[in-house]
Amino acid sequence: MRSIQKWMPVELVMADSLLVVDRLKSYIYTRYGVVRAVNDVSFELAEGDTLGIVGESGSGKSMTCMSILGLLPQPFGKMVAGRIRFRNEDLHTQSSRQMQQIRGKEIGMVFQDPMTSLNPFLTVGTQLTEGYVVHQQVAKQEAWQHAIDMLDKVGIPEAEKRMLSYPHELSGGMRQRVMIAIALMCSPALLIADEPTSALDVTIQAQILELLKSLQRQMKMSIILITHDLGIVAATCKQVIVMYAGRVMEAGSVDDIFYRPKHPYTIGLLQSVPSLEADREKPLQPIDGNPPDLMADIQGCPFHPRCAYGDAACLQEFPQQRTATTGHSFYCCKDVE
Amino acid sequence: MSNSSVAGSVNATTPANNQVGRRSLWADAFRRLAANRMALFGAGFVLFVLILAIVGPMLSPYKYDQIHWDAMNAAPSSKHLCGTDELGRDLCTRVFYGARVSMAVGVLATLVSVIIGILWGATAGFVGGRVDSYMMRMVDVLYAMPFMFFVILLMTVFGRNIYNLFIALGAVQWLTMSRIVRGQVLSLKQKEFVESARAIGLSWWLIIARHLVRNLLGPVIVYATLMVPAVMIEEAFLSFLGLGVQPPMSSWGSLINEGARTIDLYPWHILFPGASLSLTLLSLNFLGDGLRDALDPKMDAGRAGHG
Amino acid sequence: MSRLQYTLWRLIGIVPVMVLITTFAFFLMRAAPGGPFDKEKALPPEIEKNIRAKYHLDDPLIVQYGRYLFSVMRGDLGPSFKYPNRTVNEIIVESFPVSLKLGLLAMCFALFFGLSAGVISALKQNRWQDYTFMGFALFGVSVPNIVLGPLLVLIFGLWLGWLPVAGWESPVDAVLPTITLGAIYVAYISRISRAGILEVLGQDYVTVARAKGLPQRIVVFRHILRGGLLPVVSFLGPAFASILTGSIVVEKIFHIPGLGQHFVQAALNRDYTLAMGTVIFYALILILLNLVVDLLYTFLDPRVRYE
Repeated sequence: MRSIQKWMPVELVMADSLLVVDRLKSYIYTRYGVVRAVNDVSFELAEGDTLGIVGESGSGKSMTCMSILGLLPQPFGKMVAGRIRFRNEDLHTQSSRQMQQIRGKEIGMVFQDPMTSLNPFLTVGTQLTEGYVVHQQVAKQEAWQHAIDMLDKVGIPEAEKRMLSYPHELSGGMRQRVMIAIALMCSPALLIADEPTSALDVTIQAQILELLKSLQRQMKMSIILITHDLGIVAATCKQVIVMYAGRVMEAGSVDDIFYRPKHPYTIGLLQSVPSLEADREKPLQPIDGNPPDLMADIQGCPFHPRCAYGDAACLQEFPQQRTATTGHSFYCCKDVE
Repeated sequence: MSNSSVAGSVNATTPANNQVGRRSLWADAFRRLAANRMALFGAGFVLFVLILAIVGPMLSPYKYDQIHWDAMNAAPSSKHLCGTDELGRDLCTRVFYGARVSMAVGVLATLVSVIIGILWGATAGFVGGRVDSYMMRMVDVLYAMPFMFFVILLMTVFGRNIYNLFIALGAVQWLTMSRIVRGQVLSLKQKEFVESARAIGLSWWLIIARHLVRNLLGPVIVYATLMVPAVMIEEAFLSFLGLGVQPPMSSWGSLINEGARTIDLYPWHILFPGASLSLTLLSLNFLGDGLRDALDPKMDAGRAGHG
Repeated sequence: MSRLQYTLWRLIGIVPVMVLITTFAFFLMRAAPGGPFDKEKALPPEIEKNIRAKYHLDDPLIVQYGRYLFSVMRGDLGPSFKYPNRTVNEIIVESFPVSLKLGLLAMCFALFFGLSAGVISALKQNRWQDYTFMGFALFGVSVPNIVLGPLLVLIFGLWLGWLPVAGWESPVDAVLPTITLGAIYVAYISRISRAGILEVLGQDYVTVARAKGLPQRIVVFRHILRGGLLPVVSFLGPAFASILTGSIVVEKIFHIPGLGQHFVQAALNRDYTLAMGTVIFYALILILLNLVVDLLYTFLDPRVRYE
């Protein structure tokens, strides 16, 4: 897929992509002001690919995905501009009934915290089957059997017995496997995984990521993986976008981002990650300061106050998109190496 | 804390373990309260009633038990602003006087129950273990008791005077307070800063006690503010049954009782004490809700959201 | 522990609690100055002696206590002091069904309107439905039944003449008493259910349910209401106790021949056995109701452990 992107005209690539997000803006209207949670975000995802969205907490990663699903927090959240095309249909023009048909069936989602994402009052079996029954219009027994198969697939022992368990009877890793099974029940074309491993132990993290990768191969899904962990991105993704303060800072292939980063923020992120290969004598370099308040009216580049290269020019306006190589773009007016 | 004084759920507010955090917490709370018009109205009205309760009977040209045989059941007029009762007593003065009794019972009985609740809950929380579980089991059992029936028995046995009323009502209201206090003590006991203070040899007891006072102030103020109207309703209830304040003294409850008997002929007999009681309760509830919202910033739904 | 074992354990636990209550009531009544036969006119010594012998008042206190406890445990609450020809059991059997019916009507009224208002308010948070219902709820908790009852009598009974103001014969007689008794619980239940649902609405698992593409109907009924209404279930225990209490004044206002009326009369007349008997009986009812509520809770919340 990626090789096609290299020479196809942009319009044709878009027609071929599973998901196209085009200049998306989603705001949250609070009592205290408007939070510009997602500000002019564009990306596309080809079938079978994995896209990583990286950024600090509050950078708009989750809100981007909630916009895709049409699940911005109500009544405060609203998608105010842009287009989201999924299989060549505009999602934001779908009726709420049509969106229900897409959620869970075409697009599955795995959430960050398996401890709170399962309903404590319902059995695992009920939570697995309820979406399948609605979407596939099958009898409960059939859904039940399918759910047992699915639990097997995500590596839960004694699946039949576990169907009758309540969430509090399972460990965190088990619960996240259940969550993945729930998301995959209807074999969705797209799986959105919002920090699927950050609430889990490191050993479990690796298991879950491996599981996602093997399931992706089996079921030919596309995955959007939201994370703040660059190691996970390197291990699983083909394409990466780096977000900061609701905006895309840099987008490209994994190799582009890791070996040829262009944006000072990306560089900062990479330098703040400990790694085995790196020179031990060289200290880690954290990025000083804090992300900006998204309620404030930000002039120019939002990273400017923390940026080592920032100057008055950065305050003028948000930088134009620049292309480093085909498929590798960034938003910074400086030339940083 | 969205439990609206329901049995059970008591949650710990975050400890403000540095001076700056604490000060801004209270300043924040005060700002939020000042922005809440309903709460301000409530506070204003309660203050107004308190002042009337204190100075009202002094300013009135009549005494609360002064009988006027020539002006029985008089309608409200310039001479008697709220009219007079069956014995020609000035209703306005009696309502002021009733405010004294009702407010005094509300505040003092609340005080009694706050003290009992804090002692009980703190003891259970500090001692812990089996003592704790027995003490709290007892609270559970007491929750299920028909309290007002016991209060009625107490009032019957020990005489229907106002001091017994304070104690009897205070003695039955402390259960929720004890749960709140115990919850705070238990959560403080597990906090790291308490552990570390203990590790460097500071008195564990003293640390908890100091932080306890700090952390409890908010919940206690909120809960006590909401308890005052509850106690006032109970006093009114007893007086309505003839088991509370005895004539010729008046409380809002006893005035409502007298008014209810003559409601078909002289509706103003019940109108003024009834309205006073309801408005005061409403104001106290406004104030209590406002305090709860102000001291519990978690209620901010608008800020909720994902990263 | 299984649910059955838990139930049995709780049932066994009722015995010591009832013994404690009986003991407390007995010694409280014996501490009362003045006996039931203290009249304005002293009885002839012969007759008084006979009466005292009949009620075993001359036995040592401990013997009287033992006898009373034993008979209570057998379910016999003894003879009434004031109605010499009737037993306490007879009076309870005759009048409790009236109070029970009134209480159940009020509870159903409160649950129906309280839950509807609470659920709608929560799902339409910060919209006009929410403000309207919660405004009413705030007034509801501020107008005590002793004010509301006479007010309803005045408006719907005396002025409009739509509804009877007293009695307990035809079904229409129950309308005003039910509203008077239930109104405050409509308010409480709507506030509690709203808060509970709002809490659940913020939970991740509700977002998950929506992300599954479930229809709104299933999201609300299966995922939101289950957890959101649990606090209402916890409230039912205290609510039962409070409704029985409120029933006393409502019975008085509307002249309903229920157990509450008998209890107040017994307390005012120092009818020891009837007053004690009523308290013991109500305590048992409430303990059983609370057990039912707790068991209901274990069915609704799988996380509950039996202790």
